[in-house]
Amino acid sequence: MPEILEFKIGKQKLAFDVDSVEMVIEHPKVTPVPGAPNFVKGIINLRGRIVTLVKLDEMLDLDKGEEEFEQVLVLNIGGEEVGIPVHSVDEVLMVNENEIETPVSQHEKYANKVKGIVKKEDRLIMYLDVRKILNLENKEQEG
Amino acid sequence: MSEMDAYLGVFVDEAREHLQNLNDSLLAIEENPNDKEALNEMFRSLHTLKGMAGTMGFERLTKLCHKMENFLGILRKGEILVTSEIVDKLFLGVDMIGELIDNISKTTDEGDVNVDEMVNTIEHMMGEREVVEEEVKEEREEIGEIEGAEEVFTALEEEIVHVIKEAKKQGYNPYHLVVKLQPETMLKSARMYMVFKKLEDIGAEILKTIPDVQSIEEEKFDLEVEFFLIAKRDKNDIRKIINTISEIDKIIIKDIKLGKGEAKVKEEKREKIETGSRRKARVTRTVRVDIEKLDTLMNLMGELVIARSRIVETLKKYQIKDVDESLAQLSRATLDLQNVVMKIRMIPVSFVFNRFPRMVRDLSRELGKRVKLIIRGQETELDRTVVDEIGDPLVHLIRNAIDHGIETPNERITKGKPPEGTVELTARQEGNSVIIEVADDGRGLDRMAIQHAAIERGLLNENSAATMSDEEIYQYIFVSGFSTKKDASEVSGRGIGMDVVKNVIESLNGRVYIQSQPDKGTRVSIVLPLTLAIIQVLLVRVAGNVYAFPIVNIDSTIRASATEIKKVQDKDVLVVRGEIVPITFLRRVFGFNGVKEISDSLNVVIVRTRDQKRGFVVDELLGQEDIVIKSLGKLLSNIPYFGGGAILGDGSIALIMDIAGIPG
Repeated sequence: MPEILEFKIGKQKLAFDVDSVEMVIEHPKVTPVPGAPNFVKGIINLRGRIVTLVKLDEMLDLDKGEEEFEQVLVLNIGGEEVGIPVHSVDEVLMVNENEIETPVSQHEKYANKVKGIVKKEDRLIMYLDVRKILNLENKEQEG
Repeated sequence: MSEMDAYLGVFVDEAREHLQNLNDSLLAIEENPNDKEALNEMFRSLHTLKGMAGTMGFERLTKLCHKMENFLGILRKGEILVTSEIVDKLFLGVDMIGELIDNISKTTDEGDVNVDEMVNTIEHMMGEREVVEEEVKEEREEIGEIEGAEEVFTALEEEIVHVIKEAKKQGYNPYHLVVKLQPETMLKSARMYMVFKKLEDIGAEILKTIPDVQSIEEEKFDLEVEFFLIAKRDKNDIRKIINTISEIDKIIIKDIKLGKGEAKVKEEKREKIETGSRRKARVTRTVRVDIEKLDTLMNLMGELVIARSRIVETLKKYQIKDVDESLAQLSRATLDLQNVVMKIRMIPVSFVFNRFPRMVRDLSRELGKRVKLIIRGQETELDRTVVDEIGDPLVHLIRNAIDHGIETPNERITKGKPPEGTVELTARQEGNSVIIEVADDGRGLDRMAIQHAAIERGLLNENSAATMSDEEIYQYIFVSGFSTKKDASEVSGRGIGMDVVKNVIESLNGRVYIQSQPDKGTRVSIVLPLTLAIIQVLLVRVAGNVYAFPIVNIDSTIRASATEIKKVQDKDVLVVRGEIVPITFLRRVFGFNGVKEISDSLNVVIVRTRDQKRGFVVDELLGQEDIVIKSLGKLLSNIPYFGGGAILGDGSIALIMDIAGIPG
């Protein structure tokens, strides 16, 4: 039974596996990185380490609204830390397999990036596949 | 084999050391065929290598070493005189050993190397003499000892006593076996594993060991292991079987007699062993550490340095005396710590220099030249990463020195030089840099030829060439594909690989210089930073963000008025001391717009790149600082402009410029 962390970007409810989230921090000052891909917001100093911030809204074509991001989810994927600015971090949910609906991929951008849609009470949460979104496997080969 | 896999890394490391040793002693033998010590050294290395290979089950390597060892045995007895032909053959054999070790290290398998032909060649050279085998055995024969016939034990556990009693009834003999390894043995656990295996093979049952099996596996023993075992075989047989394992110093095997006899015998023995191990412990006080752990340590160290400077900066405002003192102490301690951590990562350059005597020998023979290689300062230490990288550039430089620098003996004689040329490879530390030089006493660089070629390729015009110093002209040999030879069929001018040399050195934040005099020789100097993890940078500000230029890249910084920047072929250039320097506005490249670039007085950082100087317009110069380089992570590993980042005293991030990646 997967345990997921629910958070919001704009009005969209999203979730990652809890295991992949290292910590949640206040949105710090960002240093822009000229020449970086569009989905990179910049880099931050996380306790002496340099961590890349990724614009999830850009990657998934979400409407982030006017509001500023207040928090950053720091993910740790196989030792590589990546930060994702979000509007709010809501709660940790236990999900039954039967509560996860396989996505009908209507949108090119979501293809392969979503593990499913979680239906909890009246909420619909997009349950994301961290590794596929960041495509770190490919990066490893390139790098 | 699976138990053995754990030892493979150690095996390869150790085998490489022996390979180096073989090459070194063979070179000494070639120099002086009567060098008994070198012959002995080679014999010993082959013997040990054979044993190691046998332990690991590498049959071809064992076979080859075995044959070569036998042959060396004959040579050191003086039964066959060492000729240059024999030395050549032995070099081929050593190379084959190297090939096998390489394959093993890459694939854990010996690969498709065929040793039979080499073995036959050696057999052929040995002729009828096959006596050495016995000699080796004789030597080993002395190792096995039977001290007294039996030993009385009173201190054994009841359980074992019981088993021994039962075993005796079934015709088993209980033995107490002590196996002592040679002091230099490195694969100690593997060696002991072999003892276990041999004993099991003959149906012996091991009841107890001192230390216990786990400690043996973890190599938590000095040189000796005691076995209590039962076997049907005679103790002499057992001794012989154990004796086939190499690197064993001593075997003591005794019958175990149970009884109330005096416990003294045993205690005395234990005491001796203990004093022995205490002495030993002092000699072998090194630990093998994974380089990754050192990297982590270095990173933490970096964080500590940053935290310290932040505290210092914050507290400076308040000027508290008491704090000042403790801060000074903290600063000293962190600095010392930083030095220690850096030193741990350092290894002597001999790790790369070692391979050159052999290479120089082969190459000078191939080219029909006589070359003496002088190596100095091989104990000079450098960051491990740097040492790993400089091997190839040095190969290029030494190859060039011999191929293009040193003349043939005849040519040298007509020039009034000694027929034997000299190549000097030296390393030394100067401040925070290490300087490695390759110098030859050959024909020197031909300024005119280089100048002509550069003009022909349109890199330079006649007028400016005339005003340039020799050193400036020599820099053109670093241009990719540059050659002074006109004939396309010629393999190389001096330019072969020189661009590669420069690229590698620059990627290590180092610099290359050339000095040369006609018929006196050429000296190429490589200046490298002591460590890669901490570098000196010039910090600049562009559109509110801080960027770092590595100091090694910087030529100068100047102020220029906007009107001095001219357009040539639609590109911005600035004339700096008579030289035309292309100018890049960093604000533009980085996509920041703003008024600053049109301001009247511009700060320009002039850097040296591979072939030319370039200028970068920045908003503000902030000064020099030592920074700890940090990776930007996988997502940003392929971005063009930056090679890493650094965290500054105030917690902000400076991106480190990778100048080659910025479009002009």
